[in-house]
Amino acid sequence: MDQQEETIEQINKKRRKQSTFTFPLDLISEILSKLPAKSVGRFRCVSKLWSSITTAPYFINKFETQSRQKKPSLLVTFKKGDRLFVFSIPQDRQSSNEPHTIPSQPGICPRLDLLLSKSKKTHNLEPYNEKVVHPNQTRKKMEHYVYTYPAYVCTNGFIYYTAYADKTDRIGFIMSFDVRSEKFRHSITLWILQDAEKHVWSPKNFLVPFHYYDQSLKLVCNLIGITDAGEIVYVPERCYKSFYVIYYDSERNKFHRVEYKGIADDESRLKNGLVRSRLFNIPIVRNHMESLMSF
Amino acid sequence: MSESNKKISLISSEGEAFEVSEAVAREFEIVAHMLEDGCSGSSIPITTVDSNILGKVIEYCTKHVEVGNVEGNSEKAEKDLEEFDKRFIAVEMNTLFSLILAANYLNVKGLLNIGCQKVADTIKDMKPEEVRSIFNIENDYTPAEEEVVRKENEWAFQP
Repeated sequence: MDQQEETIEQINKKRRKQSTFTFPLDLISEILSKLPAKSVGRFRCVSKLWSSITTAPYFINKFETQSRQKKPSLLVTFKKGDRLFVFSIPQDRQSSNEPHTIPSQPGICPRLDLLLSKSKKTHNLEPYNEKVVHPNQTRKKMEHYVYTYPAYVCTNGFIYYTAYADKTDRIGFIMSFDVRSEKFRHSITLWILQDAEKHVWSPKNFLVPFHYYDQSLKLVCNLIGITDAGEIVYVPERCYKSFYVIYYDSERNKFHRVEYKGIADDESRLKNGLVRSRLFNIPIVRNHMESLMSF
Repeated sequence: MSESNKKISLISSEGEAFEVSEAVAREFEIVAHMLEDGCSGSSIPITTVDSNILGKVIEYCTKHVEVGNVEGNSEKAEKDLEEFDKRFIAVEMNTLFSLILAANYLNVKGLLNIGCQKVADTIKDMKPEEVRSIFNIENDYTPAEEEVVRKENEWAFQP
């Protein structure tokens, strides 16, 4: 293919020229499917061909499959005026007990309204004995998801029902609600699917509170769910200079704290015009996988 | 394993012969298919791949066959292989493209995968203009059309 008397420059030039003609479409598609969603969006401006490759249903499915093989991330969002800030941060899987710091990559998520409406569908409990049981209005407020046809079991004045941390979660909580005192139980029972074919489930009790008070931060943290790695995740109700996530390792019975940089510190506040804003009630999506579905 | 002692010559586009064991040659799926189809000759021409690139692909396959043959201490071996892949793929863009094309033609899936991932990692923070020059793509949008696409994907241009 390359003549020996050609200079390296000429060879490179020739190769570059060839690449336009010989780089097959499926290889371009293969490369693009390995990019972060943000890069894919940007590269739709490269050419009409690249735009049509990356908007094709085949590609969007392929991207989703690739994305599932990567590590999931936490999606942190907060609102200021009509702007919604979204940060995608790596979901920590280390189980060290030392607090540590991870730099985060700020990002803007496309069509977040869609994303949130998709993942935050909450069904409230049906009326029970003419008394409306409304989980979200009670003191023990907890965000969880109940499937459209939840199975309720009522016994000894308690309602037990299954709740999921999100729609895709296979591991659910069994929630218990005391009808008389309108209180949720503090302990969580996780039902872990041991054998999918035989439907063997084993219950595991955790004495994990819905709220965790971090002594050194003096912050109340709310339970938001469980990562794929089985760690229970708490996030603070509000954040000042630093954004923290608390992970609870149930095997070792240890909490550990991770600080994420680049969200609430001075520099990023300045950049995002949030200098004096208080950031609180931060909705978080766990086990977030990038997808091109919504745009 | 007895087959792996058999030697096969792979001939590059320049006519240079590379002698490899059958096990290594079989890493090239295209060669494996040829052998299964009864192509029993001891030399196989790989006309679309030059010596430089063919040598590299053989180096990749040889390493992967070697590691695959070692039993036990799989965790360490896997880590070593990961390191090897990382070093192997740390080449300039044109070589990388040639490697990907060769891996695609010869059907060496592992190499194709790490090659494409490396390109993706290299271009992910680039501007569309830079990507066009790397892939030698002509911008076929009119300025007005490009403006529309940019607007649609505005979120992806924010820092």
